[in-house]
Amino acid sequence: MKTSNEERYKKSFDNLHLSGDFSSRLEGSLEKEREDKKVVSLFSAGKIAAAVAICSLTCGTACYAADVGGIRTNFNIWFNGTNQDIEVQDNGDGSYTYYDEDGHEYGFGGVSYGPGGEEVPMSAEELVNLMNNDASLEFTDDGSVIFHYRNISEDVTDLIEDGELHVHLEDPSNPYTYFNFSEIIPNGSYSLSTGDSKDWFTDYTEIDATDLASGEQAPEYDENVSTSFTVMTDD
Amino acid sequence: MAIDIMEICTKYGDRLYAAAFNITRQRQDAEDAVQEALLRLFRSDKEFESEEHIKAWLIRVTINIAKSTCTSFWHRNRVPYEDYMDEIPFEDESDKDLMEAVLSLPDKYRIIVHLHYYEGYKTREIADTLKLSENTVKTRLLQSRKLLKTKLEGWQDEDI
Repeated sequence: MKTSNEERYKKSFDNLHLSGDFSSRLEGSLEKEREDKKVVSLFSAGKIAAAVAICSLTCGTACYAADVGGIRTNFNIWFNGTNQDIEVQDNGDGSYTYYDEDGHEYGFGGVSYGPGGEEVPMSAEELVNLMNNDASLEFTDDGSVIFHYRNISEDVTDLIEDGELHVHLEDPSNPYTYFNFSEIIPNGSYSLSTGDSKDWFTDYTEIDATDLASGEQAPEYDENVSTSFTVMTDD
Repeated sequence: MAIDIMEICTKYGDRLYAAAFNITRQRQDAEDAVQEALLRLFRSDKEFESEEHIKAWLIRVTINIAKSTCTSFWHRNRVPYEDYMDEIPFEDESDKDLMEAVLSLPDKYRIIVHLHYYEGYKTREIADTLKLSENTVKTRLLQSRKLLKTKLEGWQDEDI
């Protein structure tokens, strides 16, 4: 009796097995996940256990812990393609806490570096303006990677090569829309630098921004000043 | 429904590994993809209707992670799959021939072939899993079969 193609295929691929120590490695990773209550994520509503640093121009990272108490101010912010009203609390130490419409709590903060390398904490208004004029990547549960810029969302999974992604879109209120994502790894971590021209890379994929929601004028960048900010949440 | 990740791993680990290996053609990358998929299941607050639902979700997620892994620098610098093939204890030489023939197919054909022959997916299910049109799946499956027929002795003709 002839063996069917399916049977032949299964018989062949049934020879593949995970390594003998896979289970113990998985058990170890699960244990670490359980212990790592603190996750760092960018606007992810706490779903991604990953560290994300967003940088403009020159990269660096600054993390601030969330705290309680202080003055609260309302802002309107875009994240993951949706517009939300958030309440930002100034913690008085250069860090801020914000609460989204669903009551999720995030800690965030940022600094700018002057020509001499001096650090100046950024105000909540500066940070929110920066976030609203910057892009982000969302790593979904099914493994897709989604690019977000205000209301524009695009699946860019297949555009990522060697952990890098270079995309551009037209925004009348922001010249800094050449986005260079690097060190993108599947656990949700990446770095981002932004430019106003194609100077750094030659191949940018154009993102259709015909229906882009308008935004406030992007802040003027001083080439002598770099900024860095991070958002973190307990989940 | 309550999910025991280790139990899921015992049940479906090798199956996920086969799908990931089909894409990455690298042992370590494939294992990393399986581990990351299981960790995502652990982190996920998704409501699953059944174990079959979990399995389908895991296969889709593993495939996506494996595809992402293939774009990384590290992937390109790992041991070629031909070396790993010699370590697999195949019962018959024909099993090895078949795997080598499948792994030599173009990237875009391999996982379609795998989902069809190993997981028993219909073209509609493959299209949904890979976010392709059903016609694309049919065309690629047809092309894959033609290629396999040229590479493998006794590979049978089939209707889609």
